[in-house]
Amino acid sequence: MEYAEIKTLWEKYDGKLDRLEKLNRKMISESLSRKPKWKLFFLKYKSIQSIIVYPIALLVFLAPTYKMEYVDWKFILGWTLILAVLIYLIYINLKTYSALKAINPGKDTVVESAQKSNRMKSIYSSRYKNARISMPLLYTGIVLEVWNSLQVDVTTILIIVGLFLALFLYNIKGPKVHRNMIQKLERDILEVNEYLK
Amino acid sequence: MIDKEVTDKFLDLIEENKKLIYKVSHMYCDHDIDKQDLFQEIIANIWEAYPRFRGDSKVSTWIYKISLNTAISWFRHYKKDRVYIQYTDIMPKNHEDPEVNEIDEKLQGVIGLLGKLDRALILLQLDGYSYEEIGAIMGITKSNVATKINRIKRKLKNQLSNI
Repeated sequence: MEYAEIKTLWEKYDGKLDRLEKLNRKMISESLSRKPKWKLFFLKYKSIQSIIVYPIALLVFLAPTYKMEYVDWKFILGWTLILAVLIYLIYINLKTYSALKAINPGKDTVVESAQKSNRMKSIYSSRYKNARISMPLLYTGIVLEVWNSLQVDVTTILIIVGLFLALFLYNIKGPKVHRNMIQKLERDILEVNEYLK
Repeated sequence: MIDKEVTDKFLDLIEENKKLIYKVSHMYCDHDIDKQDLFQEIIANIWEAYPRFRGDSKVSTWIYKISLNTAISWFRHYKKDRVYIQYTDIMPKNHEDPEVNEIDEKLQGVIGLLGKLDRALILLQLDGYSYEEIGAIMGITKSNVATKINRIKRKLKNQLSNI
C-alpha cells in the first residue's frame, strides 16, 4: 500500500464521516421533533373534534325537548344564543386548527417558528378570555331552549345552578391544563430550533 | 457559574469541528471505550483552553493542536477534580455505516503502525495541512516537517509492502 492509496482511503473516510454526521443530525432532529409533532397532532385533533362534537351533542341533547307548542320568545332567544356561540366556536376552532397546521417543527426557521408560536398563543389566550362569556351564553341558551319542557321545581333549579357552577369551574381549570400543554409544546419546538440552529 | 452564551458558543465550535476530534480519537485508540474517553478528554482540554483562545490561528488549527497534544500524552485515566463540560452528541453508533468501520479499521491498522508523534504528522498531512501549518501545530520547523514526513512515507511503504 502506497501513501497515495492511504490518502485516497482517508478522503473516502472523510466523505463518509460527513455523510454520517448529516445522518446523525437528521436522526436527532427527527427524534426531537417527534414530541412537538404529537402534541400538535393532539391539539389539531381537539380543535377538529370541537367543530364536530359541539353541534352534534347539542342536536342530540336538544332534539327530544323540541315540540311545536314550546316555541315562544324563550325558545327563539335560546336558539339565537346557541347558534351565535356555535358559529363562534366553529370559527375559533378553524382558526386554531389553521394556526396549528402552519407550525412545522424542524422545518420552520427560528423567526417563523417564533411568529407561529406567538400566533397560536394569542389565539388560545383570546379563546380563554372569550370562553368566560361564550360558555355562560351557551348555557343560558340551552336553559332557555329546554325551559318549557322542564318541570321547574327546587331540584331542577339546583341542578341548573350546579351545572352552571361546574361550567364556571371548568372554565377556570380547563385553560390551565391547556396553557401548560401549550407551554410544553412551545418548549419542545424551541428545543428543536436550538438543535437545528 | 458558567455563562450560557459562552457555553453555547463553545458547543457550536465543537459541533463544527467534531469530525476532526473524532478522527484523532479514532486514529489514536483501538477500543471503542478508549475512543470515547479520548474524545471527551479532548473536549475537556479544549474547554479548559477556550478562555485563552485569542483567534490568532484558525479555529480548526487550534483544535487540531489541542487534540493531537491530548492524544499524544493520553492514557486512560480520570481526573476527579476536573470541570467537565457536558457534550453528548458524538457520531451515532446505531446508524453506523459498516463501510466507515471497515475504512476506520484499515486506516487504524496502517496509521497505528506509526509512533504517536509520527501519527500526528501524518494525520495533519492527510488532512491537507501545509508543512508550515504542521510545523506551527507541532512546534517544529518547516524543513523538519518535510524530512519527518518523507521518512514516515518511506517507513509506511516498507512496512506495508506486504499488504
